Amino acid sequence: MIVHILRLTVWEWHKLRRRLLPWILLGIVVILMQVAVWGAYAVYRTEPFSPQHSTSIQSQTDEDETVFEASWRCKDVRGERIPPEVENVAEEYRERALASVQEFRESCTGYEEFRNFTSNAVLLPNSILLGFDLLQGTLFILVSILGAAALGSEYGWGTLRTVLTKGTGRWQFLTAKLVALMFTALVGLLIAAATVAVSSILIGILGLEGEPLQGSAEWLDVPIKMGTLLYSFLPYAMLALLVTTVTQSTAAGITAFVVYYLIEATLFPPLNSFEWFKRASEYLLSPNATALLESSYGEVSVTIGNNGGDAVQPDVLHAILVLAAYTLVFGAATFWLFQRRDITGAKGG
Amino acid sequence: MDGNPVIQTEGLTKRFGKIVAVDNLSLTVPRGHVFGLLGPNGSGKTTTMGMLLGLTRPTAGSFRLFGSQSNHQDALRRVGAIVETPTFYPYLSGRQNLAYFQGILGRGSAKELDDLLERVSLADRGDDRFHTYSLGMKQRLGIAYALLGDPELLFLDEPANGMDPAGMAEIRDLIRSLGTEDRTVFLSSHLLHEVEQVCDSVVILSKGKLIAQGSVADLLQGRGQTRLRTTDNAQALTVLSALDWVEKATLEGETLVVTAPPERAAELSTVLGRADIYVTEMTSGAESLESYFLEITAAEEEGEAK
Repeated sequence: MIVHILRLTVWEWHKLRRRLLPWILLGIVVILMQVAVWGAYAVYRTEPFSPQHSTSIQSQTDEDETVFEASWRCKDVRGERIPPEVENVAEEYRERALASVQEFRESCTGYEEFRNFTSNAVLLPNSILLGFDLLQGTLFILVSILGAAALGSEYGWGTLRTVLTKGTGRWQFLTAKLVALMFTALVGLLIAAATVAVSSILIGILGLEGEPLQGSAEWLDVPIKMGTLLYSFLPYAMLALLVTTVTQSTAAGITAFVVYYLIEATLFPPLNSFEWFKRASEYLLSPNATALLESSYGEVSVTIGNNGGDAVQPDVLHAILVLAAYTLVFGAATFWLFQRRDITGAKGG
Repeated sequence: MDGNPVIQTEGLTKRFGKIVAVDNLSLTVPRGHVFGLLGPNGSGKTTTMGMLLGLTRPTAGSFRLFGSQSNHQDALRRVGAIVETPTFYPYLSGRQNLAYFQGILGRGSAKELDDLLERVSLADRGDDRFHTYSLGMKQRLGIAYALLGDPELLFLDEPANGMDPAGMAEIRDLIRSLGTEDRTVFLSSHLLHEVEQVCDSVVILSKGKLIAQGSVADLLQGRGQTRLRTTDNAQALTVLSALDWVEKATLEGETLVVTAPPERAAELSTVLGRADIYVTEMTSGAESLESYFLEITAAEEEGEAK
């Protein structure tokens, strides 16, 4: 039985590789992750968000006379740096100019922390984690699209009938599809991570303050992050498969997922102001997925959906159990329905 | 060939809401036969195949493939099938599609694929994507798929659908050759002339019910058909209809069609001569499966209407 399911999984993977859709989705992931890492680098290099400070010093003898005027950005006062124009200020005014520099330097602290974050974020392995963190919501949508399409097209093309008349076995076929789907997601994450790693090395060559392989995160964080992502994908993928099995349609499977996602993002945040809902939201999908993902690397925090600022953040064990419960319920319903329903011919689309 | 039936159904029934698609169907298909499943549209042929192939859940009754009721999945691994229009992955070539199904079956070789594509005359288009195939080519690929793994039992639902006359003749020859390879073929087709030529025995369904079953020869035995032209067709029709050994007499344009035992065909002209009606043209032969089918299904529908 296990050999049979493994064989089916290998052939499901074979089919997925030959479809255009997984490659398009992978392309989207790679492009967005590249945008994240190169975007962080662009922010680091060009400092578009750097605060600006203008200072002027009036003459001690004539208040209408300006003896010193300058405009600085944080990079001009970074570390112990003194802007060159201060060096040229007359002795009696230099003290005031230096005080202005020091005052501005202190106001740059917040920005410098942000800049350090961006420089750290483009180093390995942080850049990979940054990409996954920024894109986790998108990744959930893409995995659900792939899941709905992988099963829905079997109904649409009518190939489910062709597959099952070869003695494939229904639950074995669905299991293989699910395993192949998660394996495809894992391979997609690995490819995306590899492209980000190449970019980080390139960024290192282009010029950074740190070494490209010396980010603050541990390399072990990368497989942990991937593992938590894949684990969090499961209930969403099962939801997409369930709706696809009920409706026998790819479009319906994707639509149902997007509608659920939008409801979580738009309807739930205002409800978080009610205490009863706040408690209930601990058992919703997205707060638990977010809690689990943030536990694996919280330096960049991007919520799945939007739980609102008042949302309760469940602890990790709670999140793992709730996600497992959703996966089991959606999975059991999907397998039960798939096992029982009559299989008809091509439905189109 | 052994005596064990390959397919056995007992009281097989499928309802879709209030519609009874298959009604209490009990049939037995012996090994090594080419078995025809006939019936007008909506008579339950595809639903019957669907149930036997595990695609549709019976509402009541049971069936056995190769004598086994419990391990249907294993039994299906000994079966090849095409149901209605064969459906494959459009982005894969014909060969890749067959390789996929061979892969999930877990047996076979590249040579088997070459041989099958050759056998269904698709060798030169095997590497083209399925979505570029014509209906006839899809049907051929479906037959190649059904033959994957050298199955002992073949379900073929309208296998000549969409084929040109030459293709139909090829399929007829193919089915005939399959039937001589100790393989059982369960064939559903609207082309009754084809069925008559290739099937050993048939089952006729109407509105989900079995209305006739047996070998083609047995069903048509004693059912000769004589076509006559006379000097007075209207009077001849009255005279012949009154004979108790004439099963049926109808007027088709200028021709009288009389169903009667073949050995009594010669008596027709004698009887008409006695009534001063003269036969100007007469041909006699066995009734075709097609006319038998039309007659029996029409009678069934009339009976239902009453």
